[in-house]
Amino acid sequence: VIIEVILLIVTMLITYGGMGLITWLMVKKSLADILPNPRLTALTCLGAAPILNSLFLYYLLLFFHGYPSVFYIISIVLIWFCLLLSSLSKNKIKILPIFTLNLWQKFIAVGIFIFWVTYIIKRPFTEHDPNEYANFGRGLLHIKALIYTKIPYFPENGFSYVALHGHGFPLQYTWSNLINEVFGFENTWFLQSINGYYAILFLALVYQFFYLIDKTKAAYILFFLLIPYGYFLNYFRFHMDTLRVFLFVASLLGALWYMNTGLKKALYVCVALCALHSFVHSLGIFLSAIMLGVLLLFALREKYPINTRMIFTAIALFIAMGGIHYILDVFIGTGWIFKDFDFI
Amino acid sequence: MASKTTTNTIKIFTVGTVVLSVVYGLQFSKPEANVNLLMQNRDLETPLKLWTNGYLGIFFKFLAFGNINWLLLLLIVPFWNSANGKNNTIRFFLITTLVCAAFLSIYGYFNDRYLGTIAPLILCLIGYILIKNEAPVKTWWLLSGLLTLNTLFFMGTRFGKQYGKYLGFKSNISITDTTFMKENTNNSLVEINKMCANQDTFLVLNLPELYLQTRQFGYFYIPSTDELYLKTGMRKLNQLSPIQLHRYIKDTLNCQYIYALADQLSVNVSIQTYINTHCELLYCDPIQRSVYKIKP
Repeated sequence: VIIEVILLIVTMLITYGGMGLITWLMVKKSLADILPNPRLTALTCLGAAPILNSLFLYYLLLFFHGYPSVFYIISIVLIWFCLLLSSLSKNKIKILPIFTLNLWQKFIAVGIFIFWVTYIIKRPFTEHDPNEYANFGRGLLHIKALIYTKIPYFPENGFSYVALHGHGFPLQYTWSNLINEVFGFENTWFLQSINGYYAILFLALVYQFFYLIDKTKAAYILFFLLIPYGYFLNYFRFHMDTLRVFLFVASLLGALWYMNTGLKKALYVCVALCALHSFVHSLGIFLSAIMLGVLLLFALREKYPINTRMIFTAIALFIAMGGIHYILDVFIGTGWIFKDFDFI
Repeated sequence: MASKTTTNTIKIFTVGTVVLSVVYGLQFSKPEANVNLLMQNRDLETPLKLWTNGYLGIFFKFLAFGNINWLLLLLIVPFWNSANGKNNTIRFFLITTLVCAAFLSIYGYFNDRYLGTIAPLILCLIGYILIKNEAPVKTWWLLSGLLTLNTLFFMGTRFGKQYGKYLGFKSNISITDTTFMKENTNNSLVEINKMCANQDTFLVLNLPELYLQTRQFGYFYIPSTDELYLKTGMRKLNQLSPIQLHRYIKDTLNCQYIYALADQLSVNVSIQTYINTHCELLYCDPIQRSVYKIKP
């Protein structure tokens, strides 16, 4: 168990910390001249990184079938390493201080982390939907391939995956257990850690947004998001709701940034976040369509420069960063929301 | 300074919310007050529940801070006018949030988690409007108080056994009975691992945790929609006669056990009858996850 716990913490540090940092450096470099608030950007990058990692794994499993775990781990490491190199090439590393903590805050942070890990390990993982996602992630792990079929069926244990969402969440199971598999373990702990991680990021993102407007009122808003019992419960489940909400709010902030500035890059950032949101849940597709539709109307009203090339680039970006799942699922997979059952 | 309209709006709202909270509380004092999808599918759901706790749940459900969300509607008009065409960013935020809320309410009302997507955003929007209107500190305290009240009402409606008496609710549900607390068990899976051999085959009634936490083989079946998933495709079981069903499950699929949520068997009368006549209950955990052995 001790080795499994160490592996969990290492996976968390690599995925949440390491990949988050590289994403932040990458964004910082490409948006150097127009970077919005560094803290908001850093929080968004920390949230986007694990889903980006899922996306890389998605493409690997889609194109390279049946290789050993080590192949996928090395490929993922290489991809992130290349991204790190490209983000460092012209930049001086100036990462910190974005967030500074005093001694007491550090103690509290460590305390929360210990509670979080203990909670994950001790509380049984029995909710219906997350188990379904985990089973699908496990199926991908065992066959080391992502194949679109009308009914995703795993002959190993008879499980059928009936959810219609993107694979951003189930692939977290696959990713963490590719690492575990090398050491002979398999568990759901990393998948269980997702909701808590995004709960903290979501609260931090909203707090930071309001902090820029009014420091005192930001505390009230934080209280508003913590006190409603129904929502508070969500933070302690092993589901994906905080992940969805975080990406939705982040993409909305991206849209607000574009509305304020009319910058082309801001639009692309917003579209990329919408795509990641779609990659984790079908609702993301619909909410992103609404948001981007309203955004387009406002952009035209504001007479922001929008041309055909920009629109095609945005569509290509959306497809590449998550939308592809739904295209493949509609045409060669289950049919998504258009599925038509053929009973035998 | 806060505008006079905003101040008056908040005064009206405060009185209204307290009254509405009590009315809602009395009207919907049990979790069963939620729209029952099975009843709705049979056109049996009452229109009142379908509209209040269904399509318009975002403005009614305590879970989605429904009673608080009315404030947004009250604040929209004065706020929209005060923006006066100068600040389109805010108008974009407002329209996007409202359209998304309408979409989720209409198409996602059946799932509380979907309503939970937009609920925090509405709270943020209310907060934003209050900041922009320079609402006084007492307004913030008031809203914090209302949210706390909302939480108490929510707990009262859910856990009436402990808290209901303080709020005038009648519910026998205790806080330890709720999904959140009760789900904190995987006893049934532990029992399966003890009782069954690895070669045993289950008919799994939409409980995917069996696959993850045991080594059993299981045919995945969704009772509410009557869909059995097989390697070769899907098939319906309800069209089989009781004898055919028994032969199919026992001989064709070669199942020895059924793993099901006992209190949800009523969604499929055919399977419920089959379990009652051909199966023996081996174990049932506190959240009704049950293991049945199929009789020879």
